[in-house]
Amino acid sequence: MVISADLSAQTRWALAVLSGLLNGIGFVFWGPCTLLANVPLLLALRASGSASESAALSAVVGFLGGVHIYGIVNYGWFLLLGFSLYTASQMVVYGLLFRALWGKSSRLLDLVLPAVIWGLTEWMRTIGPMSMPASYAGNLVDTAALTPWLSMVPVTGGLGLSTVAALVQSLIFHALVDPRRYRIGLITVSAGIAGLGVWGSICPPSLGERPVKVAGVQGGLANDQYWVAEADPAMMRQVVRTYETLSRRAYQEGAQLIVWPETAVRAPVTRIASLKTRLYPPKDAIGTLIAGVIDHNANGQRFNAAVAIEPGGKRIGRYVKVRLVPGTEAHFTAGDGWTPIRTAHGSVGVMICLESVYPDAGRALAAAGAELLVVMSNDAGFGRSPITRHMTHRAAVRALETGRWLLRVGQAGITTLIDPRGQTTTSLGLFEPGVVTGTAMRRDDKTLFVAWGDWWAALLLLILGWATWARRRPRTVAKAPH
Amino acid sequence: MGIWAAGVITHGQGELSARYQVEGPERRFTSPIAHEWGWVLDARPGDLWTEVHGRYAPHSTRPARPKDTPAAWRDALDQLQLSPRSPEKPWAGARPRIRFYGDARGPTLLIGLYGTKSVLYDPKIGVIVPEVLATAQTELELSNAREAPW
Repeated sequence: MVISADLSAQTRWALAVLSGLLNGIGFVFWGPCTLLANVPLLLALRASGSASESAALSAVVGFLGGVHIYGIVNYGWFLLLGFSLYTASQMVVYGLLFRALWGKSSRLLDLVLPAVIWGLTEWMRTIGPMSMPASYAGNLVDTAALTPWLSMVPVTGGLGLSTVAALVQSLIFHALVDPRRYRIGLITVSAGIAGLGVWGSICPPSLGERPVKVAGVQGGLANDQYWVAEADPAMMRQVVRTYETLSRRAYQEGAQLIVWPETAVRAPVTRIASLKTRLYPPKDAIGTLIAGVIDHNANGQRFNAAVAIEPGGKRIGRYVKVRLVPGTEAHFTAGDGWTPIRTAHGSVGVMICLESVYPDAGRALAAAGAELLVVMSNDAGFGRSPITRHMTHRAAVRALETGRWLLRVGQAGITTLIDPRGQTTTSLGLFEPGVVTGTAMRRDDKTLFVAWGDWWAALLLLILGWATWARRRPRTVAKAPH
Repeated sequence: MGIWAAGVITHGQGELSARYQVEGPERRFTSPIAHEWGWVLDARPGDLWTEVHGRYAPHSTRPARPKDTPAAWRDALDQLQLSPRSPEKPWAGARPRIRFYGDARGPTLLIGLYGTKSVLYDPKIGVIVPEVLATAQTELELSNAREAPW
């Protein structure tokens, strides 16, 4: 089947809408849908009559894909609208670059171009305060059939996996528009992707060898309970008792690292002796508590922080959230860098909530010596929407990138232990109080991604430059396959 | 597209606005609901005497539940050493109060203030922030009551 370039305007718009919906479905309901998501858009762009139409078609895709992240509505409609417009703008870049460069140079460049452009737009989304949880790698990381390809993530970062997903879209697109012209390229690139899978099956990331018993304490509380606690001390007592009961269970089970979620107990835990006695690890415990609390200093500044407490109550370290959520967390003072907390049971890199969406946080922590990672979060505001699940997938990408075990602890959920292969070993669902325990392994080696950083994005940029340069050289201009 | 958008919006609204229950280690919490009198923060119907004892005298032995008259409550609250007295000033949130309405409605407990609104425990409903505080026939201020903040 070969699809003509002569598509009616109605068909082009229908294809763009379909692409937007497929992108949304890939994010919200079924990750593998991602492998098809932009194919209809590429067909529409190929048939598009003008740059302005290409931009508009792409904007529709970005906007429709964006509105599927409806879980953020609880934080304001303007946020969902702003985010959808932001993803629309990213897709406009995608559409215009495709229109400008596709079919203007070699067939190989044509084949890789959609993947290169997608990879770069996704990388752009990790820069600046607007970054939000939406990446192809995050969509696909829990797809069992794709596990072998996850092995590339420690080398390329999650961006590499996203690029491969976009490359699959490109292969399907080119197979649909002109399979004869692109035959060699299709076979070569498909073989390359298959080879990558074989390599991943043979050489999965190492799991490490130095065990540490960890426990994630999930209060399972709804945000409403914290709100009610402001009005009624009885609810505050219940919140404290919940963490007291669950933490004691973790201490008694012999966990070496016990982790609370973000701002778990909104009472002055670090300042009130009676709260310390009830909540901190007792002298006869063996574990170190890493507690998500609101910390203060003498100047009255407030910090969204993780404090590390040894058995007996001695405070041995603190991490302050560096990347605060714009607006919502304006009342907090930001920390000044990603530094691991050194404990008797290893060096622990903490990311708080939104920070786990960004590749640079996990990378900086691993580079600074973190032997395992912790993500503490409060996703209760997303309700039962799929954002929490996607945030958990993004945490799995951080584990893969850094080659570290990662304990994700959500206030309402999801709490889970993720290994360096991106696989979850045990977990607790939304709004379920409990303790997740497991054995993680400490690792101190550095993956290529940790050592080299955004080299994959730089490579994509080079290829884009090459495509732009090749377009200008008459000798290399190939006839567009229309 | 219209059908899909409608489906996603409906699905999303269902996910985001659904009432939920949290089965805590001690009890179940149900998300706040709007009531004809105001917001029910914690739908927890129960017994007022147990509530008062649990909040203000949890470490003392609980005497028998008093009858729903101010005099009986005054005696019982005295046994808990909460020093009940008739308030001299209008309610400003400083000390909790037991309120009697002089009708079939039983007594309620004024716990404190949330912003400028009163927080009330009504044994038939739970913890509620009433839009309007009904007029009480008699009030007893628990002048010696101290509730642990956590």
